[in-house]
Amino acid sequence: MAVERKMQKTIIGFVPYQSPIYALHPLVRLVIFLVTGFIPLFVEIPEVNILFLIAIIGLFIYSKVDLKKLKMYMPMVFTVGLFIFVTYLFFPIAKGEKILLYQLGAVKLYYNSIMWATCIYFRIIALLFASIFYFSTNRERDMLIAFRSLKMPFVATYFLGLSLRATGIFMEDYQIIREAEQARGLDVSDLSFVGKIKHFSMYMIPLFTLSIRRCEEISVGLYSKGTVISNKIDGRKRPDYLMSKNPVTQKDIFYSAAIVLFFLAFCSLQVFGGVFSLDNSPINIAILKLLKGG
Amino acid sequence: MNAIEISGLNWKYSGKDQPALKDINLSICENTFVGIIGSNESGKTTLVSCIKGLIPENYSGVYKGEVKLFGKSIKECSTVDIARTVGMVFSDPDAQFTSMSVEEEIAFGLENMGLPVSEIKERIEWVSRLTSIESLLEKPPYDLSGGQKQRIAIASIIAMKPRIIILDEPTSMLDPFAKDNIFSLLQTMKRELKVTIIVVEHNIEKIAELADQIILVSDGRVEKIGESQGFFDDIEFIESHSVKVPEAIKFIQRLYKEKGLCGSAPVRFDEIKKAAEELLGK
Amino acid sequence: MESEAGFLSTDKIIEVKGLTYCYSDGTKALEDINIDFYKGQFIAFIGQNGCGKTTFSKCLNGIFKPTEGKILVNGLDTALPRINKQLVENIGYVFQNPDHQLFNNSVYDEIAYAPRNLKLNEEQVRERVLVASKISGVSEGLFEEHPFFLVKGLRQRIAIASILSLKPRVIIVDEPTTGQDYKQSIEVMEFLKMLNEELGHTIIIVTHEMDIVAQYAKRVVVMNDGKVLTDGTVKEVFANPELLEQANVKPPQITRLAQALKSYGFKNNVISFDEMCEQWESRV
Repeated sequence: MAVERKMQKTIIGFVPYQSPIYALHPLVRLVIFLVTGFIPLFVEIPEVNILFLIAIIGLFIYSKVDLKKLKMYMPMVFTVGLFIFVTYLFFPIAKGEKILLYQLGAVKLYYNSIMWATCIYFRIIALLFASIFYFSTNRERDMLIAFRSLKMPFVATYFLGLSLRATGIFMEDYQIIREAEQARGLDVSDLSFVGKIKHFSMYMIPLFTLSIRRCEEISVGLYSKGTVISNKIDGRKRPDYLMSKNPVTQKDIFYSAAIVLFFLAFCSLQVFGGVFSLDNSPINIAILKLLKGG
Repeated sequence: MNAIEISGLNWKYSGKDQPALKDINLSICENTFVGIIGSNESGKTTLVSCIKGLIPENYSGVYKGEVKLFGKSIKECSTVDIARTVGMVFSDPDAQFTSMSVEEEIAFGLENMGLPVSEIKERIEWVSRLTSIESLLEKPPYDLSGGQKQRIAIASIIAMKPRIIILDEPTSMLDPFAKDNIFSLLQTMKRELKVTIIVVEHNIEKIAELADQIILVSDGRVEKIGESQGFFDDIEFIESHSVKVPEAIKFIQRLYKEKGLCGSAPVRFDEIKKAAEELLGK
Repeated sequence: MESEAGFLSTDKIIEVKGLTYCYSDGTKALEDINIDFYKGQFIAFIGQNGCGKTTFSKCLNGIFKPTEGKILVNGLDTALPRINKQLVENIGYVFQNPDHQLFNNSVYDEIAYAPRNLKLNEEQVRERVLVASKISGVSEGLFEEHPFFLVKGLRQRIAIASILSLKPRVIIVDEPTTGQDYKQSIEVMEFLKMLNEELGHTIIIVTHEMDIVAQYAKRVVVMNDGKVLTDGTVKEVFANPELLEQANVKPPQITRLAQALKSYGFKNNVISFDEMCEQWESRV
């Protein structure tokens, strides 16, 4: 039906149809992703990671990503949190001086654990949003262009592309199979967790049946187009239409280099100066003062 | 000149008792539009696979006889030669679409031919205008309908400029609207391109409209080959091979018979209508 | 529109009231559909892809739950939680590609899968399997075979048998004749006709083949843009080519010929060759 949609579906999620970030070459976008993905690993201070998170959300808004689509990642945000806090609760780490807050039988609740869990949690969430941002602003072809710009060989990017395509078909089939099973009286909500896993293994039969039949068609199709999966054709370098349409300009290289330099500078602050260690967290310092003082 | 010449062709897939093709002899002139009809499993797809050289190249079995393309035996042609001479479109639109955008899909075949990028660009522009897919070039496969994907599959073959284009049941997975679209694209191809087109199809109505020549395949044999007008004169014979003669054709033949007219009745809808009006007006 | 063939009985089997359905991304697929289906009907849903006919049939089957409005199948509200087990005994859905619905290791298990989901005991299950496979022409000799290795026509019959073992009152078949030749199409349709006429199942087919619709369906529902464009007997629906054009649907060739020859006394609702000849003869 004729409803105007702002977001376009990809295999992994949604991307906006129009976005100012598309002005950047896919290579630059990949570099931004790698950098934003690594920065949280060098930052222990939760406040800084929260600021970083806000910056990423700013980027989302700037890129016109529909924030409603981010709702689907919310369960992940909570599960990760739960998992991390429970882990640190039961397996407290022994870093620095332990401050016992509360004891219930054998379970001891240390302040350090909670603080460290918070720290790890915000690191992971920041990292998670950096990746979501990448997949919300890059279509599969952008990823391929970026990889080819990095001079990855054609054969490798070709298979990457083909497998992305296959994943798409696979997921469409999966959806239909689930419906077909429901049509035969299966109520998924009735099943236990183990039952669900068992069921998933049952889907493998039709999924592989379909894949095997498709594989043959795809390979015959490729063969009949005279496909040459090689970097060279007739002894010459393979023409690359996609890259010729999206050439890497000096401006792109300059941007990428600038971003990388910034990243290196940022990292060295932590590696050599320890600027972003937990010990420097204002909140941590304040709470510790309170606890020790009291 | 004959585009295709097949003489004494027999083929048996290994592991099967019965041969899939039995003693096929036929020749197809350059730049004709040929429709191949017949029931499922009758050997239609096997026949076109032989023309494309997929058999015996990609399948194992017993092969006898000869297939010549423009006077040259396919045994003497390299696979790349055949790929460039004969283009083939299959029925599953999904299985043919292996790239992440329409443009790349069309470019892919051309890259494989080693064409320079400037030529690739020109051909994409030309073919997208011819097949009216200009507005789709940027789209990824999952944003396209089956009919659009099939249109692109055809475009990507046309772009390679083969001298023969085979379409194996190109519309069997499409809805009627998309089917009509593909058939009007075939009409355009017939008009605009100097190319031999071979279509395997169940839709006899459309084949009657488009084809210069029709081939009826049944049980591995060519049972009948001829021009479309007059092809369906012997209704019983055609229907005994599990092919349904369109009802409008049956009706006009009935009128011809009752009015005692000799000669073959028309098979295209507009001509049927005109002929019926004339006969009924009398 | 309450005319002869389409409405054999007055017993409602499916009631649809104000059905609106939106996909998870908010796109409206169906809008305010109100329609009833009666026991024993042979119904065809037609329209171009994306018109909502498949979505609608999946709503009927409870695979999709209404966003607004209500669907009652034999009195059961499809939106109720945990209704699926009861629902499938009333309405079955055969998918177009048998490969999507065959996931067991033997033909027997395949047909037994659905009754086992109903928690019947093994004896009852066996009885159901035997009956269903007999009706659909799957011989007992095949029970131990793996469905993967069978030919497509047989796989499709197994797919139908695996739904028949639920003994549903209504059977929805998605594109039963796609990719089949003339003879195979007739075989499948004759089989559905037998289920309809002899065993009293209500049959709904979702299809693109107008010749098949003309020959077998009693009632036709034309969908366009998520709404029911028109609904009536085959003759009523095909007699109105202007309306059908809105849905990008063309009547069968013979109907179009009769319509083109209207000024020579042919009626606009001819749906078969025999009828065409009859009208011509009555003219002479």
